[in-house]
This record gives sequence, structure tokens and C-alpha cells, in this order.
Amino acid sequence: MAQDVIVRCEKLTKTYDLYTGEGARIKALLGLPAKGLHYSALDGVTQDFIRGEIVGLAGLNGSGKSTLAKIIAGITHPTGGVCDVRGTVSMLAANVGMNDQLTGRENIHYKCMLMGLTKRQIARVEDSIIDFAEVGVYIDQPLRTYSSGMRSRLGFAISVHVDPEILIVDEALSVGDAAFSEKCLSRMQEFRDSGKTIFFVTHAPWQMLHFCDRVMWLHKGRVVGFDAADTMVPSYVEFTRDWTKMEQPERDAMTPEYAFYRERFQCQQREAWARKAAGANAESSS
Amino acid sequence: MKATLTVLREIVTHLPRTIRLALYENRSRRSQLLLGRIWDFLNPLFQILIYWFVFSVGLKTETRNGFPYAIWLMCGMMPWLAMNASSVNAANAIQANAHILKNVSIPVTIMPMKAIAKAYYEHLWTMGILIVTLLCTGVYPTWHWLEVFYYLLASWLFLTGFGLITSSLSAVYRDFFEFLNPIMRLLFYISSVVWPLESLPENLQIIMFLNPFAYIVEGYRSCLLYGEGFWLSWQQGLYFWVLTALLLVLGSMLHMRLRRRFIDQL
Repeated sequence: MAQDVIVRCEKLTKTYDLYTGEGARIKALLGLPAKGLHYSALDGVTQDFIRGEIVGLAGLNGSGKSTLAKIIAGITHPTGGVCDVRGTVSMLAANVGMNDQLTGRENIHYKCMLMGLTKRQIARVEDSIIDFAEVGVYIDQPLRTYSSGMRSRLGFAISVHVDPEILIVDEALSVGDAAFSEKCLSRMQEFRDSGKTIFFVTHAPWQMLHFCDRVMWLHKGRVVGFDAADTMVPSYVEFTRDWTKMEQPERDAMTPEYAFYRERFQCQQREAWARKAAGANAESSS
Repeated sequence: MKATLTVLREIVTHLPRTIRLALYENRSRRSQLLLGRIWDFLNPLFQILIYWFVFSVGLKTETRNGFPYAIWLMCGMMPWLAMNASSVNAANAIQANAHILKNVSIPVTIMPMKAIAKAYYEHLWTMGILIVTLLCTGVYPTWHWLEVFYYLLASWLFLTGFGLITSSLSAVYRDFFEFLNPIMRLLFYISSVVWPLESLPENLQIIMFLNPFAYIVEGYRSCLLYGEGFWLSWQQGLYFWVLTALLLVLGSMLHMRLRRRFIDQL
């Protein structure tokens, strides 16, 4: 095996217990039989992820993307199976750990500490964060005086300066204006170029297509497929088109198949090429 | 036993980070106040005034060796306030930091430990006033004063064990936290803080013996005022340490058992 596996998931399952009330929940905690449902968020996910790739996690709401991301981040624990993570992980969370009463600069220190940076590491990235956040003279003002855009820019700037081996991005990279989003994306690319692994959860297919090497498509906690982004994303988009047209009972019965949608997308692509070629021919012959 | 080692190792490794986080949070609280740190002094001072008025002026409470009630009260009140704040805030710590715990991979034990560190940071300041007051009122320093460090360490370890249990339980059942408030109120009155438990009948003295909070409160007094070594009450000391060890073992077992559930249920 030549490739360097950084995250290995094996038969990963995650079940959430839903109880009918507090009483049932406490009964279950005490190990007594209790009324409740089990909601399966992940259902047997087995996949190796290679170091240095940007992996997209695609899927509808409730498909288990975020659960998988949180398990890899070590925030929540799987119910069954193994998730072997061989490197430091950090989850990008722009609005977490920001303290309204502290100044921007103090927030940099506070949040970096939460994320596990040492004093020396913080000193090293401080200026670069301030630069990145573009909050100007506000950096020494309390955070409560910030506009919401400034706030998330600062939070974001801090998050992307924590330097883990694996970065998990589970929120839109669309804080601030277009220029700032662009800056965030290019920062991610820098990340990858330095050999880091990124897991990227988003609902924006174009972002995934533009940015990810490979995409994992999840549906109801199962892996539908894992493939290069330029075939996976369009196939997934095909599926979402179908899905929006479906009624609830149809949706419940549905188990999407990657091969089917890939075929459809490739067919369309071939047709499009054919049309293009025909158009070009027609043009050249006229 | 394995759980205890895991938890203790986690606490010790992350202690510097815990303390620095606590400092920043205290700073954030202070920055909202015009008087800032002065409140760290004023709050205990107001409480001392109130209890002094009720118990000394009103109820004419007598203290051991005839020390002025206000001085006697102060020596007990300062450690009590630190322990009380630690207990309540540590119990609430996992809930209060749910937002962080759900989004950042950070050891859960940092949260209760941070609450204790915050309270003890303030305690260092109030200890400052206590020492100044003692010197001004003619209580002269002895070598016994250094034993305060023993009681600091003892209370810190005890509160760690206690905090592990209360925070874990309050994170999974909220009712437990509501229950803790009346318990702390009760403990306040039976910990010899505002009136000497020595005035209880002989057969009720056991309350004082069994109450770990009373051990610390009386301990501060015995080293600062009475000039007695901590080894003199060795039976109670032994009991205290056995209890602390027990709380640490039980607390870490409980914590490790419940910690997988915290995140999903917060």
C-alpha cells in the first residue's frame, strides 16, 4: 500500500437515542428498559482517506455528513466501528469561543488557546490573523462593538490559522464579501499545497467541484459513492434534481445508486459534446 | 483505576491552558465593570458585613479564644466563597460550555477545572485583603501561615473530585444541578463559616468532622489565627484525604462513563 492513509473509517455507525421524555432518558441512562427510538445517523461507513486530499462530503440534510465530520474531529464518538485518525484535527468553527467582552486581540489569544495552541504558537500567528481579518483599528476594541461581518471575519481568520494536519470545514465559506471568501478559499488551497488534508462539508456544488479532489456522497448514513469530484458532483446534482421532484413516500423508498446517476450525467455530457461538435461542424461547413 | 489515571493525566497536561483560559474569562468579566477588580474585594466584604451584623451584633456569637468575630468570620468566609463558587460553577461547567464542547475538540475536563481556577484566582486576591486585615488588626504572621498552601492544595484536589462528579451528573440530568444549590446553602451553615460548630452539643460535632468543607474552613483559621499545625487534627485530615481519593476515583469513573453521552445530549 503506497498511499498514505490519514483517516481510516471501518464500519462506522452512529445511533442517536431519542426518548419520549426526560424520565425515559434517565431510565435508559440507568440501564433500565426505556421507551425510545434509535435514529441511525451513520450506518456502516467504511472508507480510507488519503493524506493531502481535499475531500468533499455531499448529501442531503440528515445524511450523516456532519456526524461523520464530528467523529473525525473527535468531538463525538461513534456507536460502533473504528475511526482511526492519524494526525491532529481541528474543526473550523468561526463563531465558537468568541467572547463579547474581550477585545479582538484578546479573542485571538482566547480562541487559539481553546483550539490548543501554545503561547509561542499564538505569538507567531497573531499578526497574520490580524492581517487576514481586516478589522483595522477595531482590533483593540471589545468584540461587542463589532459588526457581524467583522466578527465572523475575525473568527474565521483565527480558525484558519490553527495549523492542524487535518482541517474540517463544516460551514459555508461565505462570510464577508466575495473578496474575503476568495481569500478563505485560497487559504484552504495553501493548506492543501502544504500537504494537509481537508474535509469539506457544503451544500454548494460549485464550491465542491471547484475545490475538492474527491467527494463522498452520503445518503441516510450510508456511502453512495466516493469518487473524483468532477464525476461525483454532477452525478449528485442529477440526483438532487430527481429528489426535489419526489413526494415523501417515494423519497423514503429511494436508495440512490451512484452508477445510475453517473451514467446519466455522462450520457448528458456526451450529448452536450456531440451537440457542440455538431454546432462547430455546421459553423465550419457554412 | 484506569479511568482515574486517564482523567488525572488529562487534567494535569492541560492545566496551564486551563489556567490561562480562566484568566481570560475573568478579564472578560472585569472589563464589563467600571470598578473592575474592586468587585473581587467588595463582594466578600459586603457578605462579611452582613453576617457580622447578624451573628455578632445581633446574635452575640462567641468565637474560640475570643478572637473578634469579624476577623474570625473573614478567615472562614474567604475559603468558603472560593469553594462555593468552584462547586457551583464546576457543576454547571459542561452545560455552560456546551457550545464550545460541541464544536471544538477539547478535553471535557478542562471545563470544570477552568471554573475552579477562576474561583481560586479571585481567591488569591481576597487572600491578599485577608492578610492585610490580619496584619492591621495585630495578628502577627507565624510559620503556620504557610500551611495555607496545604489547605489550598487539599481543597483544590477535593473540589476536583467533587466537580468531576457534579459536572458529569448535571450534564446528563439537569435536576441534579438544581439540587446542588440548596445543598450548598445547607453546607454553608454546617461548615463553621458563620458560627462555630464547637458550640454544638458533643454528639452533633460529628457533622463538623465529616464535612470536608468544614475541614478547610477550620483549617484556614487554625493556621492563620490559632497557630495550630494541620497535623493536630490528623484524624479528620486522614478522613478528608480518604474521601478526596474516593471522590477522585468515583468522579473520574463516572466522568469517563458519561462523557460519550455529554456531547450528543447537550
